Amino acid sequence: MSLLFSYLDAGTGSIVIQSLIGIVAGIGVFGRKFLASFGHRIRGMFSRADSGNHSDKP
Amino acid sequence: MKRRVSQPDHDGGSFRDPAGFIFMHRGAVYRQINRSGQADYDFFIKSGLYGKLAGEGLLVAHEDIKSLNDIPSDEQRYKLIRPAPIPFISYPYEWTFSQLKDAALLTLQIQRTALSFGMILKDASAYNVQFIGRRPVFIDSLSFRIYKAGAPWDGYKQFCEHFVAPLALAVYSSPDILKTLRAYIDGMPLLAVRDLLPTRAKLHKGLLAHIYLHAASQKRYDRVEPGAAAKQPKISRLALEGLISSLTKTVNRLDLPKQKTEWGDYYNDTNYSQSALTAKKKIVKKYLEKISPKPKIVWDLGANDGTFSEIAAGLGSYVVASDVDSLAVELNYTKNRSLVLRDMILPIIQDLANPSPALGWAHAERRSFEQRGPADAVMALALIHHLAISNTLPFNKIAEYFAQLGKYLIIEFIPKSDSKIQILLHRRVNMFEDYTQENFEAAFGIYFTTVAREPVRGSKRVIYLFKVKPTKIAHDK
Repeated sequence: MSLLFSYLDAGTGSIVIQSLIGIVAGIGVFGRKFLASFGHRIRGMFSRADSGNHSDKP
Repeated sequence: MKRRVSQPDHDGGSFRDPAGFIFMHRGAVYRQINRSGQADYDFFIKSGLYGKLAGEGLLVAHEDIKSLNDIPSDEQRYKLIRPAPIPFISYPYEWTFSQLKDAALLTLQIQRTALSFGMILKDASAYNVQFIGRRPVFIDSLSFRIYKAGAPWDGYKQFCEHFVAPLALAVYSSPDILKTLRAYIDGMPLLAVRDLLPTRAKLHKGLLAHIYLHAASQKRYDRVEPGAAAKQPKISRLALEGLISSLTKTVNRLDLPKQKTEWGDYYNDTNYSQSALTAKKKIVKKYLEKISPKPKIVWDLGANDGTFSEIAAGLGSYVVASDVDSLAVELNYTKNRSLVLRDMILPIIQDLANPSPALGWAHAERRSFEQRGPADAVMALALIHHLAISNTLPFNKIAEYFAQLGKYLIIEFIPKSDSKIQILLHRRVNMFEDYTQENFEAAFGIYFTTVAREPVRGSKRVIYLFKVKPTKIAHDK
């Protein structure tokens, strides 16, 4: 069994530009992921605090 | 007794990827996976990616075939699979704008899913997508490769040439430009597309990146100096996700400006009264029900927005609804339909005066329109006058061609007095003296027998049900 590499010519110019676009767009993806997880944590804190309040009720 | 071994019939368009190929055998489609594609294919199955994509209807499902006894042995062969059949193979140069856009978005969705399973698409050909009615499905189960950290997407250039470039040209010029994909079956060269786009296209952030800067980068780096070492930048997983996200946004933001179709208002702007239209629908339904056995595949030629295709689909036939007007096909593709009808009607662009030819290497990579037939039944409603008058095709030529396309033909004859013909005859008053019902019947009588013939109440039009004469065409050869 032998491993195959690409049968397509990916093109050096296309690889160079995809790395540049990827870095710029990747920062956006990272930012969105960070904001999403940050928002999730904040919501988590409030929901825990919220459920804690309920449990304090007699 | 020695078993007879028949050579598998290789698909003419399946030869580039050494990981395997498609072949036809005893009327069914199979895919051979070669030993060189074994590692990637096994990972594709075991990682759960295949199950996820096939389960969601994004990828054509397949069944494993243990062996086929009557094909020759092949030491390259690792496995055989039988993909679920696609009722009609269509090509990107026959798709309307939204079909190409949906195919692009499907490819990107599959790429995202593949990455989350530790795989990557190794190519991004538009020919890897087919349509089942309105639903795009990915058909190449050998397009997946195990992802290696830092590896770029080899299919990025192909994705831009097959999808981004033609979609951008369609938006900034005309959706008809997509028909030129016939000439560019390996995708549109970005340098040429950059020169064809208007300057204002640079204001589109996605096109600036994926067309203009991409083309400039190709021009700068694609010239390989002899002896130069192939040094390629690595691309992080996050950058790859960013690239896919950027492409998705770019494709999503490409939309056609609102335009009027040539025949898009046909049913609202006709000399048909509502009662005549209802009568016509009844005749078409009655004729379809008369055909025995029930047609599995119907080709509706000149289908416009698919009003009559819906009748055939409602009776259980899969309908290939073709029209020359790309905006009418767009309207047909985006029309609101029930879930059942959505999967039963495939709208495609087809100019019958210049139908899709066989294309590619040895004219065998992409089949002609006719080679994908014959259909069980063909419908040609409100079409004959376009062919006979607009395209000056003699009746006998039309009859001869239609006899190649299907086993039955439902065709509407429209007399010269019809308002639609009067529009076509404007400035050509003294021509087409032989455009008569008698000549029509005589020409079609050479190739067909008349099963039924009925005037449309409330109009001067007549609808025929013809059956092709077996002596004229060997459909089941």
